[in-house]
Amino acid sequence: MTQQMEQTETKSYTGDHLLDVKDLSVYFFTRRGVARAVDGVSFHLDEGESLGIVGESGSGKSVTALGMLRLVPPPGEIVKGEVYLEGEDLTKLSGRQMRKIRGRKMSMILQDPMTSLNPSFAIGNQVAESLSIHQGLRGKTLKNKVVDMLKMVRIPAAEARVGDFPHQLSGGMRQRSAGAIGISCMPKILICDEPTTALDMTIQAQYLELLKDVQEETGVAFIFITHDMGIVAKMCDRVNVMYAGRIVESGPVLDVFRNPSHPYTISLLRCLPRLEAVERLESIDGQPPDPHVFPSGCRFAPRCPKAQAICHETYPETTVMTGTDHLAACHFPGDWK
Amino acid sequence: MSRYIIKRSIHAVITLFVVSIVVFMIVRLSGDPVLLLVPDEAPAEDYEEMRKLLRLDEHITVQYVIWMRQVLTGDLGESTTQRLPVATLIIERFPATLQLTALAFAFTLLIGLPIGVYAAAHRGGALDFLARGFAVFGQATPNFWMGIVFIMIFAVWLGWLPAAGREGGIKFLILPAVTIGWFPVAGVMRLTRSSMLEVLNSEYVKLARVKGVRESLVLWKHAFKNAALPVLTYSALIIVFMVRGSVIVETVFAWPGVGRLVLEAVYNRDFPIVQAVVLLFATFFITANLMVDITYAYLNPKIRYS
Repeated sequence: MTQQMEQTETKSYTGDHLLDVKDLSVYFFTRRGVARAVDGVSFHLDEGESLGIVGESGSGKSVTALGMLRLVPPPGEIVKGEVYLEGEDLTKLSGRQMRKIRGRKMSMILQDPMTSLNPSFAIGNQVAESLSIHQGLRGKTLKNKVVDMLKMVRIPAAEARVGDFPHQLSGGMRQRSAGAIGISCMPKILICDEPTTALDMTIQAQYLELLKDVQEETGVAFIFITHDMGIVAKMCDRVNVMYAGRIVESGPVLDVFRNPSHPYTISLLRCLPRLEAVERLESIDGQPPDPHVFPSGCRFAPRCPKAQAICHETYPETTVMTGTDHLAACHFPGDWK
Repeated sequence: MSRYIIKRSIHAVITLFVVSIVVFMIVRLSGDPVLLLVPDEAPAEDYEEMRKLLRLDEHITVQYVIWMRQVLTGDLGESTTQRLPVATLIIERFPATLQLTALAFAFTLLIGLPIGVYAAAHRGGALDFLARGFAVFGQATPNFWMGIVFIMIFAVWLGWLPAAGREGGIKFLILPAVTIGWFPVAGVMRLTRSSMLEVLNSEYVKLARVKGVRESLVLWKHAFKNAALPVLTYSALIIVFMVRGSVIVETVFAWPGVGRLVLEAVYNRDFPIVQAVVLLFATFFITANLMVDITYAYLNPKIRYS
C-alpha cells in the first residue's frame, strides 16, 4: 500500500518538473490602459528545491505568485501561459478544482503576519481550517495535528497557544503561525512572499533557519519572493531576477552571484551591504518603468549605464551563460563590466 | 469578560441618571400643564390648588427628588390628564410598539445585511448599482413622507394593505414596519457594503483564499465576522432611530403604541407620561448599547482583554 502510494506519488506526473510555468502573462485592465504586470514569464521548480524570485517592488514577482495560485485580484487577469503542477495545467482547472490545489498542493505565506492572520479567530482555528478542508480531519485528531504543526514551527508551549488570538502573539510568533498554516497540509510548494521584511534582524535569521528545517522535514519546495539578495544567497538553489514583468536573468545561485550577466543583476548585487565596505551603499538610479507603457526595447535600457542604440530598439534574446541553466536576457550579457 | 460587563453596566446607570435630569428639566420648558387642566373661567385659587395637588409648587429640585424616589420604587406616577397610573398606560400601549419595532428591525437586518454583503462581493455589478441608488434614496427620504407615499400606493391605489389601525392581524403591520425600516435598511446596506469592501481587501481574506476556503465561507466567515463590527454599532443606533421614528410613524398610521401616547402627552403637557416614556426609551437605548458592547467584545477579542 505504502509502496504503491510512493510509486503513484513519484510517477503521478509526466512532465520533467514539479512546477513548470510557461510564458505566464498577467495583465491589469485599468482605466489608464493595460498594465503588463507579468509579461511572459517561464521558469520551473523541482521537488524539494528552493527558488528565489528577486526584483524591485512592482517588478511583478508577487503577481507571478498570485497568478500561479490563480488569485490575481481584479482588474488583473491571466491572459496567456500555462502553469503545470505535476503535469496538470492549473490555468485549465475549474474554480472548485483550483480550491483543492490551494493550501493542499501549493500554499503561500503572505508578506505581513500582522495583517494576514484573521484577528477574529484563534490561531489554532486558523491552522485547523486547511486541515479540515483538505484532509477532512475533525475533533481530537484535528486538534493533535494542529498542535503538531505549531510544534513544527517551534512555537513554545504549543498546546497552550492554540487558543491565542493573533494580537496576543509577538511578531515572530505570528510569522511562525503563518508558516504553520502554510505547511499544515504538507504542500508540494510553499511560496514565501517577503518572508522576513516584517521581522527584526535576529528573528529573521531564526525564521530562515526554521524554514530550512521545515524543508528538511517535509521535502517541500520553496519559492522565495524577495528583494533581498542576502536571503537568496542563504536560502535558494536557483534564482530568477525579475525586472518590469520579465525574467532578465536566471540560474543556479552560485553562477548568478559569481558571474552576474545582466546589468540589472549586477546593480542589485552592488546594493548589498558588505562588512568590509567603507563607501556609501549603492543604489540604482532612476525609476522602474510604468507597466502601462513599457519601452519597446530592453526595459532596463533607460536605467542601464551601458545601453547602446540596439538596447532601446529591440528586446534582447535570451543568452545561455556559463552553465546551460544560467540564462540572461541582455544584448551584451556579462561583457560590459 | 465579566469585569468588562460590570464596568460597562456602571457606565449605563450613570448615563441613565443624567438622562433623567435632562428630561425632567426639558419637559418643564413646554409650558404650564395647569393651564390646560383648569377651565379658563376658573378662579385663581383653583390654579393654586391644582399646582399643589400636582406638587408643581415645590422647588424644581424637590420635585425631581420626589419623582426620582417614586421611579426608584417602581412607581412612574399618575397621568395628569387621564388620572391613571402611567405604568398602566404604557403597558397597555407597549405591545403594539414592540411588535412594530421588532418587525422593522428584523426587516432591516434581513434585507440590509445580505444585500450589503452581496453588493460588496459583486462590486460594480447591477445589484450593487441598484443597492447604492436605493441607499441614497432611502437615506434622503423622511419616514413620515415615505409613510404617506406608501399609504397612497398600497392602500389607496392598489388597495392591497390597510392604511391605518391595528385590529386585524399582520396586514396592518407591514406598511408601518416597512416605513420605519426604510431608512435603517439603507444605512445597514451601505455600511455593510463599505465595511465588507474594506475587509475583502485585507490580507487575511487573501490568506483564506490561499488556504482553499470556499468563496461563500470567505465572505460569511472570514470577512463578515470582521466587517460586522461597525454594523453592530450601527444597529444600536437603529433601535434609537426606530423608537424615535415610532413617534411619527405611529401617528401617520394611527398605530396605538407608546409613540403616539407620548405625542399626545406632549400636546397635553402631561409631564409624568413624557418623563416616564423618555426614561423608558433611554433605558431601552442604553441597554441596546450595552448589549452591542458585549457582543462587540465577543466578536473582537482585542477589546475583551484590554
